[in-house]
Amino acid sequence: MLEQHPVPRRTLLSGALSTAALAATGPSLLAGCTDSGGTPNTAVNNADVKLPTYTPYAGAKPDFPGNAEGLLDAFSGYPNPAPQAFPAPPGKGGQVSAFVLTGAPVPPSVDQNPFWQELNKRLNVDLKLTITPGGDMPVKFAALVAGDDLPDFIVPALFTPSGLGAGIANLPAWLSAKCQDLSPYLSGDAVKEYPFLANIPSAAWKQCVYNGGIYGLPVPRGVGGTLMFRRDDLFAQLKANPDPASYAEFRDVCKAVTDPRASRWAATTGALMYFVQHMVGVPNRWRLDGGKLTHAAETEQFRKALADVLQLVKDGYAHPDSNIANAPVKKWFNAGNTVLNPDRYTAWPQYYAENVAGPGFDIGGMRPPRYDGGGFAGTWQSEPTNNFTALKKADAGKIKDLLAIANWLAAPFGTQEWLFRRFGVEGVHYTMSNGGPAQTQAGITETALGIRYIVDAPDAIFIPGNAAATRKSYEYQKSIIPTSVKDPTVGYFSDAWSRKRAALDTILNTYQTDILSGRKPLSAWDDAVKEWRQGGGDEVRGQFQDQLA
Amino acid sequence: MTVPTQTPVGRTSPPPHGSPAPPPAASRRPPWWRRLAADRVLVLAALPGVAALLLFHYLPWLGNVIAFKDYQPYLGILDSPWVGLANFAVIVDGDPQFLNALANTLLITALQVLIVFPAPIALALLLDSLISERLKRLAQSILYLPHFLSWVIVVAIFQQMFGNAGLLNSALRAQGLATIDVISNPELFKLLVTSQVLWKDAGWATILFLAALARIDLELYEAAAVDGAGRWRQLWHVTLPGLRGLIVLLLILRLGDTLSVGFEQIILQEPAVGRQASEVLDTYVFNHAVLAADWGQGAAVGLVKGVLGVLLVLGANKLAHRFGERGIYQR
Repeated sequence: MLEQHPVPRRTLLSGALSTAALAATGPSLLAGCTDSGGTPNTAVNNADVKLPTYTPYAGAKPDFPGNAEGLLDAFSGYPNPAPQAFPAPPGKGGQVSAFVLTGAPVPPSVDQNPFWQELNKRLNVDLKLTITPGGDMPVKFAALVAGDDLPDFIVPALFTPSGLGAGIANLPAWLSAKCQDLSPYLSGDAVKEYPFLANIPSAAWKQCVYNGGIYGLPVPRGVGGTLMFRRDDLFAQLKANPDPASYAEFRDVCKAVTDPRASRWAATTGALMYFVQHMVGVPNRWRLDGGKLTHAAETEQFRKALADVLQLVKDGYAHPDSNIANAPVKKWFNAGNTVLNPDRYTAWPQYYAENVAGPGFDIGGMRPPRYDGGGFAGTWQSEPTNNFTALKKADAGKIKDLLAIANWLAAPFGTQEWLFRRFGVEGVHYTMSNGGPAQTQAGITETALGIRYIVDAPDAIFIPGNAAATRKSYEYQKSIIPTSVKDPTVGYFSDAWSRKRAALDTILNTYQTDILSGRKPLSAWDDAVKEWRQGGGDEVRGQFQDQLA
Repeated sequence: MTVPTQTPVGRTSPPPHGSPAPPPAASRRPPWWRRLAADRVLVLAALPGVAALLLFHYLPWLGNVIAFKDYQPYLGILDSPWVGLANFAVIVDGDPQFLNALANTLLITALQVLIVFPAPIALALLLDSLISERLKRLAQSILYLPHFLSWVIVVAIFQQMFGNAGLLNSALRAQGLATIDVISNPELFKLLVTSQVLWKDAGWATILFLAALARIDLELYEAAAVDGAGRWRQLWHVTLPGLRGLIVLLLILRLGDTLSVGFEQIILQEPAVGRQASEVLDTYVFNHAVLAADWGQGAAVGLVKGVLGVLLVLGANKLAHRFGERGIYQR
């Protein structure tokens, strides 16, 4: 429909780009870069890449230890005093530029931002940041690439303004043409020169592999992913069952907590859809069965979830304004307009920070039961990274300087550097209370520089000043990780997916909303799947299947 | 540069210098460079503005060439491959979603021209009839205020007031009454967006009309009153004729961007009512071209929209000339 002749175009494109790559790297023969950049991005080539040797850093001892399955370390309080990991600043002066995103309001510029000035001092470089709000990323990134005036660190686009993942067309070809293959510096034991980069788990590094090389630095995240947050204080007050054992019981819970006259509903339509899909066993994006991929939207289970949620909506358990754009779902949850809300585990501290319900405020995670009872359903794992950052092509000296800075930016939880990076300077940007930093207003506005999206230390569970909530978050993750389900395509690259992801997700989202709000009949889902397949879904499936075979 | 055959009147003709020049020499205009030199100060003063206009308004037009290309940001405009008219296929073949967006656009445009356009005229007349200056100022301030709110805020206010969990419906619920679905009702959507525009901008748009009203000669009213004309006849025979030139001018300008019916306002409310009811040309471009990174197609639809806008302006202007009005420029 939108794509007239995808295959010839792609061939044409990659051809043009690798010629450009050869022209760029050929005559100057960059030091440390023995590869011409012409290696195609195939599963075989990528499987050969020797990932950086994982060397865990023995830093602060967690109160609740994580494990290799993806459970994160949890800390009740921040080590005090926090040890300093770097005796001297990592930088050698000069300028370092980066294109980063932020989810918070864009902070003041460097001349009016004491945190940024202090960061420059501690890094001993002049950090030039182009900070872009998440929603503007795809457009700004396209402009950046088109303008070809690249900074040293580049965070590729992540999300469209509607919050859907933004694909980056021809990413591997662009990486190969413009960005540095970091393999010579990081592959295998070479990474040991940068101990905090070596501290990042292999699953995260795998997400940075393209064209048979390591083309970026990962921002690792726990695979615990999204969970159904539950207002435990309200559940107790309403005497509702916090742990329904089947779909029927879950419906009873929805009924018990909903009271429109008190402006209280169980959850938004989207939240119910998210949760019921788990109960009926919809796969995590794709199901791999005998080398064949089936997309979640194509499964019978998805239709069943759709029909059940439609009934829940009709029964009046969903927030009636669920479908408005930019619905303030977090606010509704905090205000008690909804009592269930799915969110990433990283949001846990935020709910406490924005609590309006008083000291009784208490949240937990609700595990999805199996539809017909008999234990809990598996939850969906999230990707092991938030994003990755590419480095502009440069000579070996410059790349080593940049990696030294990245190493500082990856100093792990428990160090003074981590505390400074996240929270700023004590007394100015935060104060210590109950063993954790509490941000001041200056801290909130000045520290959101987006440097945490250049590279980051492995994540930890830490809800500042609230040991009980930290414990609860840890226990929840511990309970779900063993049965959590992985997306079989994570770690593989499909060019069609990278380009059409936003459009494909939009097709399904639009139909889902139309059906759940009663604007279209349930049977319209057939059209959704048809449109999705023709719009590129089948092409994406084929590309992933070829690699998984 | 061609020299017009007619001698224009006004500033561009050279000053007479007071010299007794012979008549044939006066009728022959000096060459263009001589005239340019004579006006060099004015020309120099205009240069920065013209340069800015060329650089930021005309040069980017060249980018429209991607409507005929398979534009890829990595390749740039020049190196992207040509695809002929392939990007115009959705328009020529009549993609049902495109036609739906076109129909929605035209319907909303019609509502806006019929309801939103005359509203400020009526409002200005009402304001003008207020005798107390203080009351008038107060009313004006209150009416101007919404203009300064961004669409995000306006839409949020409407959702807070009329949402299904908003002020109105919460109050109805508390009284045990049936609720009214305003913001997620596809049938009401076009009226909803129209009333939002009305609330936001009707007050602001009165400014021009108030200025025009102040310019009408009071003696005309007195003369009309002497001739026995009541309020309505004065309105019909004095006030409205006094506003006619401005009304025609604004209507023509409005027609120029008639196919732009508010991208932000509509995309913000699309999820609540669905695409069938809400998609207009601008959001169609966003949903089908920008999201899919199909820039060429987006440019193609935008180009067609722009051409239609120019045709509408020229057509409306011609019509205005027929009726003896000045329009946006003179013949």
